[in-house]
Amino acid sequence: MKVKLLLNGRERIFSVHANEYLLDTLRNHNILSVKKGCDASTCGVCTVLKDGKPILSCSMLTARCEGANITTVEGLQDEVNKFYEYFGQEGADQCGFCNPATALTVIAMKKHLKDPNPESILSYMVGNLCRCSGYVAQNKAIKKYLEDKS
Amino acid sequence: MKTINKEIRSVDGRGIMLGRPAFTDDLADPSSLVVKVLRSPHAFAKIKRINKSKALKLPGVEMVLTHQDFPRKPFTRAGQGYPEPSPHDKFVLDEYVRYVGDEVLAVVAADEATAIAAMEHIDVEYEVLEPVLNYQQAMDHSSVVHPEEEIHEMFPIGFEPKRNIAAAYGMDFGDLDKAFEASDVIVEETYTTQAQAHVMMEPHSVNARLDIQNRLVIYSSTQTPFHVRRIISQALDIPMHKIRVIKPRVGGGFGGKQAIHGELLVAWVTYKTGKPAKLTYTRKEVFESSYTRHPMTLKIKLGADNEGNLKAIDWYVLSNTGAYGEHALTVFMVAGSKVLPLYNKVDAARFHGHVVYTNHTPAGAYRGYGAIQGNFALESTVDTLCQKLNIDPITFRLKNMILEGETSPVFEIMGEGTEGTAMNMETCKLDYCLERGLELIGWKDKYPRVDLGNGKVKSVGMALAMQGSGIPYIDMGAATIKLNDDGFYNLTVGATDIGQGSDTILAQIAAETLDVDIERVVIYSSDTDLTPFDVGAYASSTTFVSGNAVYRAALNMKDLIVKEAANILDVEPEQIVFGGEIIHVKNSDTKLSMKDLSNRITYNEDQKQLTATSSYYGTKSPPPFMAGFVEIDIDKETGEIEIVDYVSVVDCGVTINPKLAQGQVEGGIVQGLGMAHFEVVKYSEKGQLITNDLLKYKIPTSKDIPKLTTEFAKSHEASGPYGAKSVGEIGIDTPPAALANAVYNALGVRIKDLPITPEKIVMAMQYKNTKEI
Amino acid sequence: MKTQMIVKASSVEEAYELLNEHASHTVLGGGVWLKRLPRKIEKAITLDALNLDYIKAEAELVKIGSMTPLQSLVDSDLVQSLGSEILSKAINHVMGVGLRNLATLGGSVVGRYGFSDIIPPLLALDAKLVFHRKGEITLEKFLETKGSVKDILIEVIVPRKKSVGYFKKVSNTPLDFSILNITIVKKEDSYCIILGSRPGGAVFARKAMAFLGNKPLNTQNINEAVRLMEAEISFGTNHSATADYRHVLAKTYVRRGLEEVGNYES
Ligand SMILES: Cc1cc2nc3c(=O)[nH]c(=O)nc-3n(C[C@H](O)[C@H](O)[C@H](O)COP(=O)(O)OP(=O)(O)OC[C@H]3O[C@@H](n4cnc5c(N)ncnc54)[C@H](O)[C@@H]3O)c2cc1C
Repeated sequence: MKVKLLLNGRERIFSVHANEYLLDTLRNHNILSVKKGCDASTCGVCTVLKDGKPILSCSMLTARCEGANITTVEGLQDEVNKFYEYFGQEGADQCGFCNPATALTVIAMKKHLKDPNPESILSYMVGNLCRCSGYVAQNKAIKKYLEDKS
Repeated sequence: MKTINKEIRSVDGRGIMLGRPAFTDDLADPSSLVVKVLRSPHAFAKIKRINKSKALKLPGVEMVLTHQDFPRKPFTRAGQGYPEPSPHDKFVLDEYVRYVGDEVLAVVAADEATAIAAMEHIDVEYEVLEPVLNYQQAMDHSSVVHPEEEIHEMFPIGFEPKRNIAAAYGMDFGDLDKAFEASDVIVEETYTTQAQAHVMMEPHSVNARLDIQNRLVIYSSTQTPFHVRRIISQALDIPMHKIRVIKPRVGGGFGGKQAIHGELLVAWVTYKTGKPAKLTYTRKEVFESSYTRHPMTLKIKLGADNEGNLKAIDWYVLSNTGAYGEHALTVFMVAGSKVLPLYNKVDAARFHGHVVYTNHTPAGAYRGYGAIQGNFALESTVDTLCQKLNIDPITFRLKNMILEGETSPVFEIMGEGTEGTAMNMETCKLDYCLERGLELIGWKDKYPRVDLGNGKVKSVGMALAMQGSGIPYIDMGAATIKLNDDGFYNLTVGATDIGQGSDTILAQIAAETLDVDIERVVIYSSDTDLTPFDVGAYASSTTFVSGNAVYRAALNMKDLIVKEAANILDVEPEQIVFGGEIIHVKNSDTKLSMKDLSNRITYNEDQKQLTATSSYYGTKSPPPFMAGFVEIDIDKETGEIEIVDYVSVVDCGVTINPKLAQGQVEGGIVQGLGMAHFEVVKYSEKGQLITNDLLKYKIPTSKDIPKLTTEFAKSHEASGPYGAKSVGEIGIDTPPAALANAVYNALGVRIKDLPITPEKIVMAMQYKNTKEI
Repeated sequence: MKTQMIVKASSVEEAYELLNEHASHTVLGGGVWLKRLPRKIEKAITLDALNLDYIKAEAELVKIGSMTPLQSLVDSDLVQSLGSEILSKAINHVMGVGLRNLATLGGSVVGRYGFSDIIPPLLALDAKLVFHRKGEITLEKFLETKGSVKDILIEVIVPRKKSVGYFKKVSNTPLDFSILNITIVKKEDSYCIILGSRPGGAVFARKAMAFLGNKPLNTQNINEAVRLMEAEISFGTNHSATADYRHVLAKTYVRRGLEEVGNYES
């Protein structure tokens, strides 16, 4: 079946099987920032934005995305660059496998949470697992980015 | 210093966050055949018959590979130097399957869906054998996990497969009986540790293609590209010169990617078909069918006199290597060799034990590599001993621990699978680490406990730890530096960045030595065709071993440049002052920019390419040290623990990159806390791993870790590059013992089997209460 | 799950017809849980075109469409106003935002998961379900039914009664299933105590509830309620905890919950 997406600002038509998940569609079409970590909605590295909200692309059937606005870091380079300023400064990056997903979640959070506090930030981020960093440096970077109103 | 010990950003973090293709699967040929492994449902069985005809008829199925397709040559997947201290006990595919998840056969198809469908069309008939599932009973069990005759050890490691023993070792020094006799207090305890899973976020992945010279080009998510090349060549009888292994960005390893995984199957498919092929593990395969930490039972006996002098340590370890013996001997030895020297003043010590085969997922290398298991046992028992002696555990440690300038006989006796190397601690700031940590955690106000009045108790606990910096006389790393026109450099290293930041810190070392900004050094790792040899990322070797190689290569490059400059400027080399981008002649205004120099020798006159290659192997392995302190709030009724803070004070020499070093320590602490607290591993009665996904196996989340306090001692290790020692593993060692000690300090119960779950705490308290009544 | 075909239903009736055409036909909520199951499906029916993603206030009720994603319930002021936020707080304990934006209320209810953190607060708030064919049914009644649900859940109705709630999820990490969850709601003239993820499905501590009636929550009454709960409720063992430990958690948190609700009162 054919599915039309607004992918990173560009209209794209994909031919997919009914059982195909968005993660595979994206990776098969060279959107490689989106990673497969567990393929079972438990790790967060496949996060993309659907109509501005973070979702786990491993568990979203592509066929159900007809007409949706899908954004990955490929389509948000300026904002990701801005977030990376803080991330790099804190030395929060290690292997990086989870970092595009982290960036997307944080960028969406900045829009979504009107009044972020440590508790609501963590509730938002908790589904994004990282095995390298120990999180604390990441959380510092996230806080600074959220405070940056420029 | 311009670059060293400065807050330099990682060279690659931005590009990765921006989503540039970098990881193994990102780089697979899109037309790759997909390799899928059919895995054993049985813990132990002999394959009687495989019927693959139906599967082969499915459109899109390329081939089905079984044990009959491979040369029958035992090897080890361990990914160590050669000859390996691990038994050669694995075949690419075998007629026996030895754990639930072991490889039965491989299906190769045009795409994943077809490969999965084909697996459903294959009938395998098994003769189910009695598995060995309890490692306490593995030795001399009626079932033999490895009955095959061809398997062997490369040199004596105590290999007795007919008894289910993969390795054995023993050492002692001093007169143990006498030392215990001289002890006023003796404690003896037994601890167990679990098969922690690495859970790197990137699953194991490999792909291959043939190049235009008909050579195999393999991209692998590996910590050891050079070992991978060697093992592929040996196991598949493919000439080594036909193989190129490229390690792209690796999404975490922690030891789990030191050993090889799908490389052999994928290499074989591409070699035989000429077509590109790939294999990426599912998360379930990562859990069930890669490697784990070695579960151990550690029986330890300490003796001390009433003055608090530790006299004797007697230690027996039983380690479970699972179905195959990767790292069997060496992980077990490290439980002693990187722990015992902490208390170097003992009169006598013994360390011995066995590593046994069972029908469980194989154990392998994992950050901490035995030291975390040993540390849990020793540092828990030290607290228990102090309790008995009625001596403050901090006072006791200050009195007995190793100090700068001292040594331990253990260094000379125990190496990794071999004899060790005697050395003095040229740098050991353990005393500073301990005192500073006490301050940072607020020990005197919180030790042993503060009742918070709301059903909760606050307490603190601590442990000391040490690790190594590479394996002396074994681990070798090399680096090549090339000068380009425009005056910038390429630095190529075999050292493997797996996310720990080695590309950044190695570039920093070169930039510092060549006195340029880090942007002027372009680093590339690792590629067996293009980069010089390196053993890979393990044994905490990269900063120390590979870093020294880079340092030397940069010095050589500097010499070459000075010679060129002298030639161009027509002065003696001694007259040249190398200033990075600008070269001066002493006591004169004559100058030459690196840009002009490099352009001139590239295009204009006396043209040549300047390259410098250097290599390094350690003649000692200076240990990093640390003191780790945990503060917890614990619920007296439910045993639930809130980790309030974890203080780490680390002596890793000079931190080449303080933020990245901090990341190494903190990442290690949190992994160690996972092991200490809730990373439960459960097997079914039939030997199936129950905790085989991220719903059942829990790793720490951002909510579990509110605060980490990390500091570094001022320390300069003369043998390290710019004073550095290693920092990759040391962070993981202290959490289990520190947490166990904190729980004891809070509630008076001692949990001796990891992980320390709230449930175990509550049950131990109930038991304690019934005893007291 | 593996599906051959996806059909976007254009009416609830059509969805219902399709669902009942064949045993393997399945309605997708968010499809997140279904994805994890080794189930082969002929037709997967989506309700995406039926405008079932809503949270509406009526005089005495809140109506929540079955396709409403869990995160919307976390964010909604209306949902937060129910039972002093217990429902939105409980849902906030389900995984991360990426999952909560996909998983739906409908899937969370119809799935009848024993581990659910969502069903207990809904039960305590007297939620009713509106199915296409079965019509309105209390959640409590629905949970007694067994077997596959060959009906379409349209919405969940929660009465807007004044109540004070307590919800506690005990788990190894925040991304874990509950080892046990404890829900307590103080209503106008009664208390509701529910224990979920025991690991079996959520149950009321009826004897304790009957005893408490609308008695004041003093220490004596709380102790008696806890005692009655212990005598009545059974717990099981699974990979994440033993029955004994669940018992310890139940008695501790039922007591603390009642104390907290009591403090809130005074
Ligand atoms: C990794 C993971 C962790 C989780 N952890 C927790 C947790 O800690 N606590 C917790 O409470 N929950 C947890 N959940 C469950 C989650 O909250 C949802 O309840 C679950 O995903 C189901 O929602 P869904 O929309 O995905 O349903 P689906 O998977 O789409 O459907 C589930 C079932 O409901 C049926 N169904 C769905 N909608 C309708 C409808 N409108 N009418 C009729 N039938 C319908 C489907 O046919 C299917 O049988 C977890 C889920 C996952 C995947």
